[in-house]
Amino acid sequence: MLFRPRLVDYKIISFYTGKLIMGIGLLMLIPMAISLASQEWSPVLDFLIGASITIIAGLLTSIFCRTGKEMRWMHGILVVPIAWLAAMLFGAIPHYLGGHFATFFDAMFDTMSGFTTTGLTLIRDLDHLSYGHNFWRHLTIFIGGQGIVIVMLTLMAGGASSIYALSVGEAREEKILPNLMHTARFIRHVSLVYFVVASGVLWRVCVQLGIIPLRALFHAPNIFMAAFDTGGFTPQSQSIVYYHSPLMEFWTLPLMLAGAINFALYYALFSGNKREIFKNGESITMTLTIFAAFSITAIALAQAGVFNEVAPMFRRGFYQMISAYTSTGFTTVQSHHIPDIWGPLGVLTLVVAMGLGASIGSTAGGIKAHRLMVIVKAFVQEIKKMVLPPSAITVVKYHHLKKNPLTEKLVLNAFLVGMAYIASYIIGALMGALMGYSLHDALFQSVSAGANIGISSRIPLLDAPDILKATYVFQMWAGRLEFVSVLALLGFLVSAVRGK
Amino acid sequence: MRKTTLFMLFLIALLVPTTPALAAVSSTELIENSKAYDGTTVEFQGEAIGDVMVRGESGWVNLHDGSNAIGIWASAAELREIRTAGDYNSIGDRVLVEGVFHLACPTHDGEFDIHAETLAVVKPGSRITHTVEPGKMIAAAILVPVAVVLFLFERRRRRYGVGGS
Repeated sequence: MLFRPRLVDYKIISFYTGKLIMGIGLLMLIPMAISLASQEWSPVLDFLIGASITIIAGLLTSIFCRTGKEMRWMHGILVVPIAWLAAMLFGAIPHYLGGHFATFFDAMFDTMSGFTTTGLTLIRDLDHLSYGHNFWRHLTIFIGGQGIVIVMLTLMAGGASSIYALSVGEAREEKILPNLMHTARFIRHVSLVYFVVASGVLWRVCVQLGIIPLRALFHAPNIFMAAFDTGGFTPQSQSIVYYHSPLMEFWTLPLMLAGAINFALYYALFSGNKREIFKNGESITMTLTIFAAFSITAIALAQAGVFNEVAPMFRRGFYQMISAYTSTGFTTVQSHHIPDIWGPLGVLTLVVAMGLGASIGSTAGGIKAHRLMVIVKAFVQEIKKMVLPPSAITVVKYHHLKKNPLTEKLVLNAFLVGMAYIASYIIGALMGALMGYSLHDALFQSVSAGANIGISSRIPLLDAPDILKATYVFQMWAGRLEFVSVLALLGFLVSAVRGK
Repeated sequence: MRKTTLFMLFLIALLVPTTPALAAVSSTELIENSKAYDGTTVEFQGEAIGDVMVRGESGWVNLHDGSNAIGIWASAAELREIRTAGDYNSIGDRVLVEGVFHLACPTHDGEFDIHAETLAVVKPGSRITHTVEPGKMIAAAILVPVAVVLFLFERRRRRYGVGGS
């Protein structure tokens, strides 16, 4: 029997959502400061208005829904998807006021794309966007990559159980340290160290490329946030091609990979356990899939006869493959060209790489290497059971920080989440095809949205029907949260209507 | 004799192939028919955007024609002709280039680019005047104090520990 949620449940969920909304409002003050420093007066007002509305909404929600009751597991898991929708709604206000979006819905699309580290965009005339607005686009990626709710909660007070539920909802449940709050702080510290060091390196690279130092100061942190948080937005409309530089590609490549590696692996490395990277089942799966994907891409590109030599093959083929696999979405080729130039085999490989994705506990999207490894090992286990005598006990293990047995629960979870991703890709592709686009363009775009990649196909997103844009928004949102909390929200809505 | 010479000259003028003026191509045309244009000399016009990146004797500028931007490889001397590149505060110089288009440039590891043979600024850039809308000022003047008062109220309430229901 379904139980109708009580008033107190709504109040708890709204109270925490209100706090998170307020946090989003406070974060808008950073791009406002950048606009202020750049003497961009109209954008200053855009952020002031956006921040004020968001803070007022957040405060009023938390004041009116204040309750002394503790947040339980169910509340935590529901706060996450609602908070992400609220972040999309309020985060879009300064975007829309900036005048670079045709509709408020288009601004919401970009905000969701940023927070989910996807990188698909509906912005118009990006090359004339203010510094403040451009920084806000990239900051949404940084916040979303770390996990909106986790970022906020490490800055606020919260009970341990509630934080665990929130981290599950946001697909960041792996405990690197015994305490999840410490885990979140560790992730934040790693990211901040990367931010400072890598932004410095990228600034130097930009200056070497002929960009004046002050402008380089604008490019470097934005490119860092988009690469490390596998977001794929860039300050200019041409993606990474804009820089025409192997040096820029050389430095952004390891950043994309760094963002796509499980944070638990970082902790193992920092703790002196350097052998973990060679033993970790997920990193081995990642290496093998990247090797396989690039080998097939190389064959496809050689067949197409476009990038035959080693340097073009690496700069256009390998870079593009890593960008897709890590779910970053930077492009070193004209993305419209991919279907024409790469041939069917190249496109198929790229779609599979996008759909699979990199590590769990990273900023990457897609099914993830860990789940692929679990599914493959489950097949191995079943084959062993068939081959060995019935009395034999088969135990399959995998290495992740330590030897772990392959449990039924783990296999079921990997299959269910994997199936949910595939269902999302298919639904998005069908919707694209229903709107009149070719099936392979629709599938490419759907996987790009559902796995939070951001590479565009030949579908002109700016002119696409709103229903298709809404489908992609749903795919980005559900894909980033790995479906669990989104399904929980749908269940909650059903019980609110039909429960007793 | 004079008539024969004139007639011969007339015939030669008819028979000698004249070089037709290059028709300007759009970025969309280049992207959609890149194989057909690969290796040919094209004329492309667009606004210089972002940064003019001079690297030694040559460098890059990106020209946006309203639909897409394309990278132009040109000599440093020609690139220095570009005074304004488009950004939030400026409309960039309108630049006309004539050069060889590459679908996958052999010199630049497969870049989609144009190697400029000639580059000229056809219209200088200009400053964009951004007016602050009065409506935004009024909205900010109302919303900011409300947000600040509410924020301070909530902070005070938390500090003095007024509990919830």
